[in-house]
Amino acid sequence: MCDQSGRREGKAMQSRSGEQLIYSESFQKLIREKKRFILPATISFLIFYFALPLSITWFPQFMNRPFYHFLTYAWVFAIMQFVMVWTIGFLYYMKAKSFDHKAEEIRKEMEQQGYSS
Amino acid sequence: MNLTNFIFFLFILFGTLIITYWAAKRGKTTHQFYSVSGSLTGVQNGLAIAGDYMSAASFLGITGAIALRGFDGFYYSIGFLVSYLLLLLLIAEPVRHLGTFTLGDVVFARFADRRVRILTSLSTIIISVLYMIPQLVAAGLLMQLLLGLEYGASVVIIGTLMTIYVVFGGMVATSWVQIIKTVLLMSGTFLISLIVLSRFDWSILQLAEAVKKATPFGNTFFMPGHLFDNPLETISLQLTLILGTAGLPHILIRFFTVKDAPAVRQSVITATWIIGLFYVMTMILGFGVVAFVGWDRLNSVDSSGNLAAPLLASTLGGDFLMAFISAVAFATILAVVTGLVISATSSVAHDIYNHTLRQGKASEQDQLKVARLTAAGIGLTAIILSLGLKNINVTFLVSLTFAVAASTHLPLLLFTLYWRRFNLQGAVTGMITGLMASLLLVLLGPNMMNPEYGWMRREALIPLFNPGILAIPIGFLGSFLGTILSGKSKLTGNYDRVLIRSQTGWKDQ
Repeated sequence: MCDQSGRREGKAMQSRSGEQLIYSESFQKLIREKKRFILPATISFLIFYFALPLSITWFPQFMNRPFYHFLTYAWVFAIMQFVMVWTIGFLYYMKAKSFDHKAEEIRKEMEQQGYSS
Repeated sequence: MNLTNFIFFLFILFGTLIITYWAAKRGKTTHQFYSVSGSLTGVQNGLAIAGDYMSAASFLGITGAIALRGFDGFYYSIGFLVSYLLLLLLIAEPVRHLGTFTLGDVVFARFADRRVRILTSLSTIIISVLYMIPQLVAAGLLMQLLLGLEYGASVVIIGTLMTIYVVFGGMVATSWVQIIKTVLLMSGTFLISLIVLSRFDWSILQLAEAVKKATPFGNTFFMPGHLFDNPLETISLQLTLILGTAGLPHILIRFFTVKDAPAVRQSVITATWIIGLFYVMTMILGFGVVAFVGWDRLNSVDSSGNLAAPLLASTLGGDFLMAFISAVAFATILAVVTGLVISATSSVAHDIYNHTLRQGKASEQDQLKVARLTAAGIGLTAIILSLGLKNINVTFLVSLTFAVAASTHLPLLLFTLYWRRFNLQGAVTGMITGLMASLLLVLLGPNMMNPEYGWMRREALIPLFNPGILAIPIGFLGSFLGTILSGKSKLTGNYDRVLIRSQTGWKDQ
C-alpha cells in the first residue's frame, strides 16, 4: 500500500491508502503551523549570522567602536549569536510541544482508520 | 612520560575499556550495536553529541587562536555553534523519523533505490575517513609533545583504542566514551577558567586589561582582522561551517540513539548549551594564556597555538594540572575518532553489506560479524594512513570534510525532506557534482598547490583556501538541475509518505 501505484489506485478508488491522510485537515494544519514557526526562524537566524561577517567587512569603524570597556560592537554582535542560538532553541522547544501533541493525534487517527503503526 | 601523566592515562584507558566490556556484554543485536536500541535520554545524547563534535581543534585550536589572534579566534567558534540551529529546525527530527541506523536509510525511505544508498554510503565513508586522518595525525603530534610518546606509538595507541571500542562495544561504548569525554572536557576548562578569573578578582575587565598589556596588538587584540583578513575567505568559511554540521554523518547517526522527536530536540538543545558554554570558557582560557603564559612565549614555543591550553595549565597548576589537561586532550581526540569509526562502519556494514550485497536479508549474526570486521579494517586503514602522513599538513582536511558534507549531504537531505519534485536523477547528480566540486576545488586550491609548502609546488589555479562558497552552490545546483532537466521523471519517490513519516513520526512498517 505504500508504493506509488498503491497511491494512485487508492485515489482512483477512493479507498484509504496511507498517503491519503496527507490531505487530512489535521495533517495540513500541523504542516502549516510548523512552517509558520520554522521558516521565519530559519531565515532570521541565517540573516543574523551572516550579518556579522558582512558588518565587519562593510562597517569596520562602527564595529570597532567601544561598547563597554574592551568590548566593541563586534563583540556584542558575536556574543548575541550565542544568545540567539539559545533563544531560538528555547522558543522551538516550547513551540514544538504543540507539534508533538498534534503529531500524536494524527498517528492515533491513522491507527483508528486501520493503518498499522 | 612522568608518573602523574601515566596515572591519568591509565585511568582513562581502564575506564573506557571497562565501559566497552560492559557494552559488549549488554547487547548482541544490530539495534544495540548501531543505535543503543534508541535507549539514550535526550540529555545523555546531547552530551554525547558535544563529545562527538568538539575535537582537539576546538579545545586546543580555538584556545590557541584566541590567545594569538584575539577576537578572530573567538569569532571562528561561532559558526560551529550556530550550525546546530539548522539541525534543530530542519534536519534532526525528520532524520530520526525516517532512518534506522544510517543516512542511507533516510534517503532510501524516499527513493527505495540502491544507487542512492550506495552513493550516500560512499560519501559518508569519505567524510568519516577524511576527518579521521587529521585527528589522528594531530593526536600523534600532540601526544608526542604532551606525554613524550613517540608519534608512531601515539597514533597506534589511539587508533587501536578507537577500534577496540567500536569492535567490541559498538554505539553503546562510543556513546559513553563521548559522554565521559564531555564531562572531563567541561570540568577541565571550567576549573582553569575559575583559576584564571580568581587571579583577577573575578573581574573579566581586569583580565582584559592584563591581556591588552601583554599582547603586541594592544587594543586591536579585541578587534577583528588578526586571523581573517580576506572577506571572501571569511564568508566562505562561515558558510561552510554553518551548513556543514547538518551534513556530518557521525553527528546525524547520533539521533538514532534516542527514542523519539522530543528526545532528539532535547539532544540538540543540550548540545548547543554545552558547546556554547564551552566556547565562552575557551575565551577566558585564551585570555588567560596571554596574561599568564605570555603572547611571545606561546608564539615562540608553538606558533600554531595548539599548546596554549596545556601551557596555561602548567603555568597555573604545575605538572599535576598539566597532566590532567593532557589527559582531557587525549580523551577529547579519542571520543571524536571513535564516533567517526562507528559512522563509517555502519555505512559499510548496514548500507553496503546488508542492504546492497544481501538485499537486507543478512542474519543478525552475519551483520554483526561484518560490522566488527569492518570497524577493524577501517581502524587499521586510518592508522596506516596517519603513520604515513606525519610530516604533511593535513589540517585543511577538517574544513574539507565540512565542505563535502555541506555540498553533498545537505542538498540531498533538504530536498529529500522538503521538495516534492526532487527525483532520483537530481539526488545522484547532486551527490556527484557536490563531491567532485569540493574535492577538485581543494586539489586546485592553495592547500594543495602552493609554491612554498603545497603538495604541488605551483601557483594555485583557484585561489581559495575555503572552497565552500563555490562547492556548496554547485552541490545544490547539481541536485536542482538534475531534477529539472530530467523532465517529468517518475522517480520522485514517495514524497507523501516521506512527508507524513518525517513530520509525525508515523511508522507504517
